Amino acid sequence: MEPGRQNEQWADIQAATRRYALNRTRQPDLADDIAQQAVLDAIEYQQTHIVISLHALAFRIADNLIKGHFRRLKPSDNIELIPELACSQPLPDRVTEDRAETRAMLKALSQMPPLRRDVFLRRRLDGQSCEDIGRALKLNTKAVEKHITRALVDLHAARRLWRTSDSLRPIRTEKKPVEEMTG
Amino acid sequence: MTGKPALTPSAEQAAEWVAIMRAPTVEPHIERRFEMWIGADPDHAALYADMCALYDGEPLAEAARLQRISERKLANSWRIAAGIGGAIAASWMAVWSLSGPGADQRSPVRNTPQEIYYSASLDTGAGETLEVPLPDGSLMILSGRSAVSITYAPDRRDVVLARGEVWFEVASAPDRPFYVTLPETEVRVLGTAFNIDLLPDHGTEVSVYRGQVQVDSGGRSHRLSVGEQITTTAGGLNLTRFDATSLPDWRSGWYEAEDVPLERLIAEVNRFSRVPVQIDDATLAAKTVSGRFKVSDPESVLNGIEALYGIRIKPGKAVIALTNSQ
Repeated sequence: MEPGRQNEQWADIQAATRRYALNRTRQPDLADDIAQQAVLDAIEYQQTHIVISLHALAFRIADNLIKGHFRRLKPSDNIELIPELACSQPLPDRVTEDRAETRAMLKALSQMPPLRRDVFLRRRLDGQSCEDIGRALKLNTKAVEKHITRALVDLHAARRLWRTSDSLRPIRTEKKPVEEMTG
Repeated sequence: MTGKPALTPSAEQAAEWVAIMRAPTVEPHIERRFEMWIGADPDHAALYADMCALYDGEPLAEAARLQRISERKLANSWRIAAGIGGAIAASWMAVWSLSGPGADQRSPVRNTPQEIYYSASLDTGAGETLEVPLPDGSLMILSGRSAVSITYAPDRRDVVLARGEVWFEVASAPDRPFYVTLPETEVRVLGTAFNIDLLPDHGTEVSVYRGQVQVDSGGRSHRLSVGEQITTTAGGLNLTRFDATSLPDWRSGWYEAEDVPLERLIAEVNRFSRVPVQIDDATLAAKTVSGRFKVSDPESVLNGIEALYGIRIKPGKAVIALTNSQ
């Protein structure tokens, strides 16, 4: 790959990673830092490893960086008191928005057909693989993937709806005035 | 991806790719197809980013937990305690032993057919911990860089620990023993809380916090009670006592070292370090260290031991190398 083409590709990956990070953190400056670091780490990593999907690698690194970031913010001595927050302690200004989004997600989950919800919770909450879920529920792996896909489409639609109504609220002042947040 | 991509809307494609790419392993040809899809159109990348953020995000994780809790509340109210963790587990274990015929609303619900057979394979990345409520009310918490597979059958419950360290709170079921299999050792449990740390070179450290476990290793069998800890290495078994009133160190991100080889401390650090730390000197690896280390903050540990033990730290791209500075 010639250098110009490669730079363009990295720029695309950085843009996608930033969008991912912004969706997760809701903090534009932090999302910039994470996307930049993820791309730097990915560039370094692929010099010594064979990487098939650079996008997948950059997203994975960004996910770890985000988890690391929220873990550092957390008073670590309280970890056994709040094990369910071990992976991410939200920033104060995120909490209210997160709660509203959690309610929207919970509503979408509760309205799903029971099998779709069961499959999805086994995957996302229990970490069971699609093969494991298939064995437990007597479904083939493709069917399990299909249920997860449908569940995600439902949740995505619910999140968009929530975002739309959310944008009617007074806009918080950010360091950068225009910030696209679709999701 | 069996469907014709052109006919499905992009949101559904993105969702399908999240379902596929979040599997524990992805075959190279599938990953290659993913990279072609996501690179083909900026809209694909944007939708995938949104979908992935939705899937990985804390709001959905929280909603999923709440949904599960409300489902379990309907089925049985007592079992929720299992998901809440160590602090509550002690009282919960007490409930277990009291639940005789009289305490009917507290008694464990009978398993549904789905729960009698249960299997899952789980692993964690560096610095990640994963709490796993099991269908029988048991709880496992995985430390960083750990991997287990779980198989439940009607007459036994099996966990294979392939890597790392795990905290167990096992719901008592005398007719359905709970086994943990390790490379050279098997641990048999009736109902208890204990911690297993898989050491380098197939060594194992088992620490019992409640109840009893039986450890079979190298053809010998040992029964461990509360406050007892057994370390199995190639050299044999070593039985010691520890303070079982506080949780294992890793649950709080700390590691309490008392004359342990540096190698052991670094193994704990590597459960949290994004860049692996490697000791490039055999005599250094065997050098013993003592102290309370915040292993969840690898940098602080390395800075701490650098001056104290005369260690030179060489940060590299792929690994952080430690050598003797003398």
